[in-house]
Amino acid sequence: MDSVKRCFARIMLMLLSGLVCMGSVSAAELRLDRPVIWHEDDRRSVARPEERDPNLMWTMINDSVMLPLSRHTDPVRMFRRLAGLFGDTEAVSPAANVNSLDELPNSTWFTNRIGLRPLTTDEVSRGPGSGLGPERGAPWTVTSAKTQGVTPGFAVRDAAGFTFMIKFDPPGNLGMTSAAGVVSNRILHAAGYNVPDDAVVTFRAEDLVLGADVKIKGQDGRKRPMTQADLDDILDSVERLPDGRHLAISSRYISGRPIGPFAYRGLRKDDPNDHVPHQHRRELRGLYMFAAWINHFDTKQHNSLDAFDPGGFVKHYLIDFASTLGAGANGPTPRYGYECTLDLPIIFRRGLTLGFREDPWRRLTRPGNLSEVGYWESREFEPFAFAPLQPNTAFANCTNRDAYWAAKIISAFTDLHLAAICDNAGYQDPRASVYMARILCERRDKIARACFDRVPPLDFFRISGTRLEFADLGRERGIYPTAETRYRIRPVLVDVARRPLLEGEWLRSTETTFDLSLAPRVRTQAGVKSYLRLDLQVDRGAGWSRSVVVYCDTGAERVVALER
Amino acid sequence: MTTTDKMLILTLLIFPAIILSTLMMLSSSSLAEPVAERDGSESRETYWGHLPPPVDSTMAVYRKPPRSVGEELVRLPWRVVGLPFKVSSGLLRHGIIYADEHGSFKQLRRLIGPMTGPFGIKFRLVAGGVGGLGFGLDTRHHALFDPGNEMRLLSKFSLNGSTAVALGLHLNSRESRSYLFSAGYNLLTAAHYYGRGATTVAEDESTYTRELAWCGVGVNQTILPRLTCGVSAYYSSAATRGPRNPGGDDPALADVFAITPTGYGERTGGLISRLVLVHDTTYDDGRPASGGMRSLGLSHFHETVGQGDDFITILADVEQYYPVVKSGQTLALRGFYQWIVAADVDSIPFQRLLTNETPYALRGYRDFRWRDRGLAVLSAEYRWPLWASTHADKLGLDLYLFSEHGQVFAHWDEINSGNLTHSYGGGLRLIGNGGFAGRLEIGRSGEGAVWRLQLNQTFQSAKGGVLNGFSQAVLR
Repeated sequence: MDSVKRCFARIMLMLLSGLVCMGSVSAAELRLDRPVIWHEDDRRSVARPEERDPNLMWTMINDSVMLPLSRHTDPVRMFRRLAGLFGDTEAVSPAANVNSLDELPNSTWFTNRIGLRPLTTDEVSRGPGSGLGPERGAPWTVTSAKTQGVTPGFAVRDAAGFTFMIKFDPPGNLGMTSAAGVVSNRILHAAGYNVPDDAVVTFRAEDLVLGADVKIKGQDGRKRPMTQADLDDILDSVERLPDGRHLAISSRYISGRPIGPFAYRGLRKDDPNDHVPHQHRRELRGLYMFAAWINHFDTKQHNSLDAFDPGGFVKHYLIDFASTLGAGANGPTPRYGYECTLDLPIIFRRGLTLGFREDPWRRLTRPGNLSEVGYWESREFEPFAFAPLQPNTAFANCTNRDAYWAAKIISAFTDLHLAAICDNAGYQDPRASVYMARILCERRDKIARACFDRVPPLDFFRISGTRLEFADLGRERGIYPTAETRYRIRPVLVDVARRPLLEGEWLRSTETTFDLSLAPRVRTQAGVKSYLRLDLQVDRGAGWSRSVVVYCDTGAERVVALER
Repeated sequence: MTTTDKMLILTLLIFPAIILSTLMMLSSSSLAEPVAERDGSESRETYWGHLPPPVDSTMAVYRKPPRSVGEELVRLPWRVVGLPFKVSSGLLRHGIIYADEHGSFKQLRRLIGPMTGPFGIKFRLVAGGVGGLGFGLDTRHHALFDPGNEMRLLSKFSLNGSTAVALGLHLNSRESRSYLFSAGYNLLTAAHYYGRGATTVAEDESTYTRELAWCGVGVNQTILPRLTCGVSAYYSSAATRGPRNPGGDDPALADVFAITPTGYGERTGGLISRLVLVHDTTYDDGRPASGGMRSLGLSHFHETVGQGDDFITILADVEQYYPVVKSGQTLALRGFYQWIVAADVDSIPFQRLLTNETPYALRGYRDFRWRDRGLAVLSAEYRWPLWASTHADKLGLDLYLFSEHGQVFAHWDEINSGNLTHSYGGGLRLIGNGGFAGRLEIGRSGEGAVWRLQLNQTFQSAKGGVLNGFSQAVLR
């Protein structure tokens, strides 16, 4: 009787899992006879949304406790995870804003750059603007200042009329956060995200003039007119270079009117262009891998910004990268990036193991005599173990496909790109620049390897006559340098709704091209528009990978869809 | 006008119009081009070939696909069950935002968090032990008139009527010679007495009221690096009487013991002179991971109020910390020995005998469970960090397990395995940004379990001295 009950329970469980996962199947039902979408239609002119000012305390509690609790008790996730044991189903549904090639169309959130086309080292290291900071033709006019917080700062207007925020490094870490901020800024921009124009600048006190009617918050919390003495106090309170110059990061105010940060979950309800819940946006899910790469542990929503563009739509920015690359706005901290602020699973694990399982971050050391480098390393780094200070719903939704998309972009950065970025980031010690670039390369390779192991990196398919050409990013980008690689392909004739009509045999090759004329002949049924489906697999010595499925319109010599 | 002329005029009129409209169309399309990357990505070949321009057929409004019936079906009961949690979460959200916007968290941080300046007042909560649940304030000043002068005023008021107030001053603390001043008052309405010796039984539990007061000064002189000599003189008063609530659940001392111990119902007073040598190689009082503290003390009590004899107390306390592997674990070991040298021990008031009054010795047993002229304890505590906000020595939480073995004795030959008590337990230690902040502990012995929330160190108890509010009225 018990065995009957157990069997019934199992069947019910499997049925429920299957039922839940049907959603993802229907979501993927794309039509092959439609053109590939490369642009998201989210720049329609709309009324300016209200400014958001989310409460920092609640955000921290919600992100750290309430939302993780909700995720871990969500039955759909549980069933999907269960179903994942029997197939390729992931715990969350696929990203909602990808095109039929599993790529991300350009939008107000993201513009494809290095992921889709080669960039020169100059383009990568220049960033979104000039990359030079405020213009030096005339003294900079101080227009506002802040004395609260760990590091003081102020805003200046340059001769060209642009306003920049000037922020200093935390005490005892001159150059660390400012240079790290610029490196991360360049990387995220080249990847495709919207970021402000940041630069490391040096200046002397005489390069500044105090503007008229500038207010400052006094010790009592009240605002009063700012005096030259206040400005001098700020400058005296921060470290200087040996030659007496001040070193800081300048961040140009972004164009458009700021309307507060974007949330990593839900929609901005007063923005009619915002249709995809943010936790289902691929660029925000995939940001997890970028954040892991540059150890951007402070990815709370307050480090993002929406701006109402003069064009009448909302543009979404990532801002403030001081807490990246092993640096931190409060000084370098080894734990950051390895644990959330309140990481309950890790706390429980430590409790149960009596602390005998050594935390990887305890092994971290800063490189000797490189004062501009924080806890920046690649040996202990595990891409999928990266933990931002506050758990993030979009990051928690990052599927293997999202991670692969990010890794594809990350691996497009060459050693030369990264060296150029670090060289131009404003490090005072050239050895620091070399060290930072080396670790970036090593972390890039680790991410690519981890993601390419999960999703075969066969990409950028083209039909040329009867030949199918594709790129093996794992081989091209040196992620599997020693592996012997072979490929196999199986042609299948399908209809518009991807239903198989006729299946061919596997063809094998050691090159990234296949002659489709060698495929077994498939007959086209009369009156039915058919497409060629190609199942591709790669073997690097550990057996055949999962399939990458490519749909081609052989007549039009066009790849129309792709499934991973 | 010929047809040719008409054609010419028409051409002259239409051609500029076509040019103009074409130009307008071009300019409007470039203005309206919504998606094109300004750095020219549209015009360049990509890995997928040439990307099409943003026209209707290559643009789309993406939306999250609707959930499947299966998902909705599975989610339905979860939604129903989760409704109260959702409502609670909403209420919590509004409550937190309201409290934050009205500065409540800042005020709370000031009360319980690290002090941001030299002066601060913190809220105290103490629970467990004979003091019961108590509240109080911890007032500190790290630079009283001078950066080297420390002041601490501790108070605690328990629900059972117990009261404790202690003032400690450590002047010139950064110099090799520093000066101490301490005064305090401690009323305990439910002190326990089980008899004297290692063979008393838990069933003989009785209660009484104890009142202590002290006031005195001391000098600490650094002799060698990390070796300090302390000399102090205190006036001490100790009185006992019947329990505050004679008809309560706990029997009074006089009801349990036909012959009440020496000093019961009396007040004794006298002068305590003390000489202590302390060798301290620990770096802080928060999470010492290495080094140790060794104390050797000699105290003399000269009774001025009462009829008892003078006596001497010898104290030896050795604490050692060993780091275990690399994850911040520490093994803390402690050996503690105290002995009263007196011509006639029976003449010493019972409230001045050695006992496990405080949670520094024989944890797992109720306060005052053991009492005699000698006390020897061996402790081992294994601590490992559970959580740290930033760095290991900053705000964080440790978990620990302990094992404690010891006994009271009247003579050396009473120290044996038959009299030895054993206890074990564990707890959580909260480390504040300013060092140790408190511990929540449960200890278990053959007589049951004892839990307590305490704000004092078990190890390193001598560190901080009078600033930790330790009673100087009795020789412990």
